[in-house]
Amino acid sequence: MPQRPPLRRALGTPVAGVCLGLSRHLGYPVPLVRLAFIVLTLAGGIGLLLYCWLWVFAPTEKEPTGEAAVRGLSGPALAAYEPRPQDSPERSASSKAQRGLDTLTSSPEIMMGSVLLGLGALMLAQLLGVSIDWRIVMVPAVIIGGVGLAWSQLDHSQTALGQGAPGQRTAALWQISCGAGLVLVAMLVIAGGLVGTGELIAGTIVGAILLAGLALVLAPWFIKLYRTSQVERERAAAEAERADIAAHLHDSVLQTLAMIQKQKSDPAEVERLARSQERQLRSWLYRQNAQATGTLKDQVLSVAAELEELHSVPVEVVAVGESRRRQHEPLVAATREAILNAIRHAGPASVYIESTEAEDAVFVRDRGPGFELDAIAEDRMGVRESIIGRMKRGGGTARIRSRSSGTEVQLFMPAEAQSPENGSQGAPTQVEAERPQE
Amino acid sequence: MTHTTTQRRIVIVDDHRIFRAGLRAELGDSVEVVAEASTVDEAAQVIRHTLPEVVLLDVHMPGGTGGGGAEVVKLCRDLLEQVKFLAISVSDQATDVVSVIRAGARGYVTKTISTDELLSAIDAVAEGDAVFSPRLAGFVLDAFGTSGLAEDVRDEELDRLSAREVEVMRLIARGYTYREIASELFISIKTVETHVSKVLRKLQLSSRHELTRWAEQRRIV
Repeated sequence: MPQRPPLRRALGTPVAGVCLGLSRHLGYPVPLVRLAFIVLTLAGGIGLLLYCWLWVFAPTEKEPTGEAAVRGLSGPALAAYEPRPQDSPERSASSKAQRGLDTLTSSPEIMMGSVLLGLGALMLAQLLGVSIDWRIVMVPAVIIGGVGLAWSQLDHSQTALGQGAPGQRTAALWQISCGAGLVLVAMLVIAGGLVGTGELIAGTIVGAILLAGLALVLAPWFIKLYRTSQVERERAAAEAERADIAAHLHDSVLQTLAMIQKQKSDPAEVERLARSQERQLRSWLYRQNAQATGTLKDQVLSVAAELEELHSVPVEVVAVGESRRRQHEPLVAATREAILNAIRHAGPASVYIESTEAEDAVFVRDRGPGFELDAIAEDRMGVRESIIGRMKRGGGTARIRSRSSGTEVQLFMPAEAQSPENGSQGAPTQVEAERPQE
Repeated sequence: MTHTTTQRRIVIVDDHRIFRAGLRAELGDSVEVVAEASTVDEAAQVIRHTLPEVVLLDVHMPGGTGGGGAEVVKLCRDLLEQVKFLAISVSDQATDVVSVIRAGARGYVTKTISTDELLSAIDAVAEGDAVFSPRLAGFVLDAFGTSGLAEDVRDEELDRLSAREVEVMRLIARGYTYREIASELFISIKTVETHVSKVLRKLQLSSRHELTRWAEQRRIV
């Protein structure tokens, strides 16, 4: 016998997901459950009470339960939410009727419509001479409306009241207080039917005093309960994060360490492994909030990482400011060429990116012996074509300074530079090769 | 690289024993490691006891109230005249860097630094100069803005860098040594050091909360 899924309220349903959740739990089709609730409601409101009961006591699918610790270290930190099959598979014979019933019972419009229809029927009956005490109809309706209004925030309260946007939060508070107000008014109307106005006022005051006294006694407990639950929640979150980190370390770092132990006779390979693992871990630790890639910095970083890996030479990237441009193609390509040149001929390179209002500038510096630009044969395409030429075509400039203490390639791309095909012509490219000093 | 003939007395503070041992071996006879410490409280005690010239300080370590390297510096605040702190960390996080510098450290280098560079950084810090890695210079430029003012800002104006200071920071970020910066800007090395120290002071004393807020926003590096 297959195990029953736990009773959880479903998400994305018109009211509170009680029916769908219950049907999944019991294994009956949803329309049947809904129909049962409607029939029970008509039979003196039992269905409504049951619905409210389940609304309050059954957790939603999304709500965290204390399972995170059970899942262990190497499991995923959060159970992936898998959308369940919408409904039980429908058999051909009853499928049509069932589907009809489903749409009939699941749409809020039809629910609203039938409520209005019932109201209309009552009015018609009154016109025909049947005397109806509207208090008996309206008061429960107002109570139900108020409760529904207030409870609809119940499922959002964790996000909306906790750390949601302030606008969202005030809206939720308004909704709850409006609902409470409606219920209060309805209660007073009921009480007004039983006692006179003077007594009602006196009774209200007495009730308020009693409530205040009770609140005074119980408040510390509630506050303590609230604090405890807050602490519990934080602990659960911390535990989940720890499990997440442990899982990641297990997947990446431990594997790499094992590989390093195996490769210990090959220093170059060990260095390569360590470096790539370091970069991976770093990016995971510090950049997981920054999903946006495609900024100039990200592109240069990935180019640097790729070349570093390929040639086992460290490349350090420092970036300042955010670029105003959307397209970085020529600049990144030229930077790549410059880094490649540096690590091929001179060793470690440092890259500095500075984005200002006016332009993006990239400096690629190495500490090699330097070279004379004029001494490079015309057929050596590297520098002339792929750096200087590329920047010029993209509307920017390139400058190369080479001295005995190292070479620096300077690339500048104005913020609103266009490719020459679009009209504007890039500034002339300067090539400045200085005499070696000292 | 020229080192002074007398050995610098240093203390290594790091919670990883392997790293401490590696650093000790790497530095060899060039310095005299007078003590090691692995927690905040132990570090504060050891530093008070031995009064070294330079403390090589990790940013993250257990103990104390959880403040790590920055807390060690704060605990030894009254000794900052004699004992200089050089932060050495694997972390690239701006908050780490800025917090330990603002606590009073004289410089920040990453653990991947070469031995020669580390030795000269120790020397510089011991002499009272500031040591800025390219990355730290990048942080400074990012935090204070790259524009700089045309004329020199007055000294008491802590929230902005002068044009010259921006230029020096920019060259450090580009990977220039102090000597290269000096010849690039046609000034003496001593002047470069003065500029860097001024920037360090501004970084430490600037009260503008943008600085901390900026650092918090940049969890990304």
